[in-house]
Amino acid sequence: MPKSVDAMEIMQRYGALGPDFLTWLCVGAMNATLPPPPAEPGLVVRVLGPLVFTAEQAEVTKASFAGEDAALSPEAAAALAAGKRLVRARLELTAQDATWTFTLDGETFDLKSLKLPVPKVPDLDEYLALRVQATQQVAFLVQQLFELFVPIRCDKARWAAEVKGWRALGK
Amino acid sequence: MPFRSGALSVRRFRLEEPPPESLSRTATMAIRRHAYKPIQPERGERESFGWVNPRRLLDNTYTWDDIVDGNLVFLAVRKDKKSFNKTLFKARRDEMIETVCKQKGIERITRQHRLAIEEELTVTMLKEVTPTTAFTELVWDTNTDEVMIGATSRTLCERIADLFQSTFDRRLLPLFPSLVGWRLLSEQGLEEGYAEATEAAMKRGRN
Repeated sequence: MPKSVDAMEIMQRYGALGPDFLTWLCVGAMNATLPPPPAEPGLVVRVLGPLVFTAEQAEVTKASFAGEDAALSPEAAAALAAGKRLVRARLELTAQDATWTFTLDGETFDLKSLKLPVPKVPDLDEYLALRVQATQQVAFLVQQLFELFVPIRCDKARWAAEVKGWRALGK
Repeated sequence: MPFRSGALSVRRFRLEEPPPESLSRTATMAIRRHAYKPIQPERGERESFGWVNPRRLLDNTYTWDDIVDGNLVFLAVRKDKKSFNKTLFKARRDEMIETVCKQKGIERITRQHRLAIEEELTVTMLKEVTPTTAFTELVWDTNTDEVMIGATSRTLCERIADLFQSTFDRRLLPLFPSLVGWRLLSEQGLEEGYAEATEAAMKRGRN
């Protein structure tokens, strides 16, 4: 990053990218419309509860939904229809035989309570290396999905259609 | 210790610039300069924050080679903190002042004397308490220059990033979507498209 560019300014200017991405990811996963990431075309994304939505300018600025099928609940659809964006969601990613479960923070891309598909091995160093590798792998998959999202977010017509689709979910 | 067992919570960073070529020669000394040292209450210290070897937490003679395995650097930060109950402190201070007044046959002590008593009592009480200790792990992949901190608290991550910079002379940039996205937009010339799409969405009533 060029030193002349202020990171705080960038975070403010492009702060919506993360929540927009997470919302796109979750809606795409529920509707099975996510484009496949090049590194893992068979990737399956499942949205688990709980979900946290926010809206900057609304009477209700934050809404959390927990429980089974929280993502498919009418409350979650209403939040989307009201223009709220997801800032936290528990996800399950499955690529081939490996499954990761974690909460993705839309604003920071923090991976929280991450369960890794790593079998226990007796050698601690080997086990550590496998866990780090598995963490890097899931971060890479999220990055690939984000790279697929960015051109859509920057295309006026495609983004408008996307947001329109979210709003329709609540009707 | 989350990187080695159980569920893991991580915040990811990237080094702003690649590490210096002299890293493997200078890193041991750099880490020792910023290593964890026990709190010294007699010096008024209440907290200690520094590097430890996550594989051998009590070993303070480790070298760079001990924490490097191939392309992975595995470090941990130990934070010790001592604190005591303020109400109890005041009660003990008042008792000490009362004793001095009785011994000297005076009604009140000077402000300077009170401050001296408070300082002495602070050291005594800090010595009496056991510190609360927390460990946070960090993994640095020297192939990609990515760093993962096993914590997501903003304050703690910023503090560890500062310690990393003081130690290795390299700034850690968080891999937040806004920063990663800005880089992608710049690379692909999409800044204008982003601004237009955002504005259009706002015009339609919301973003």
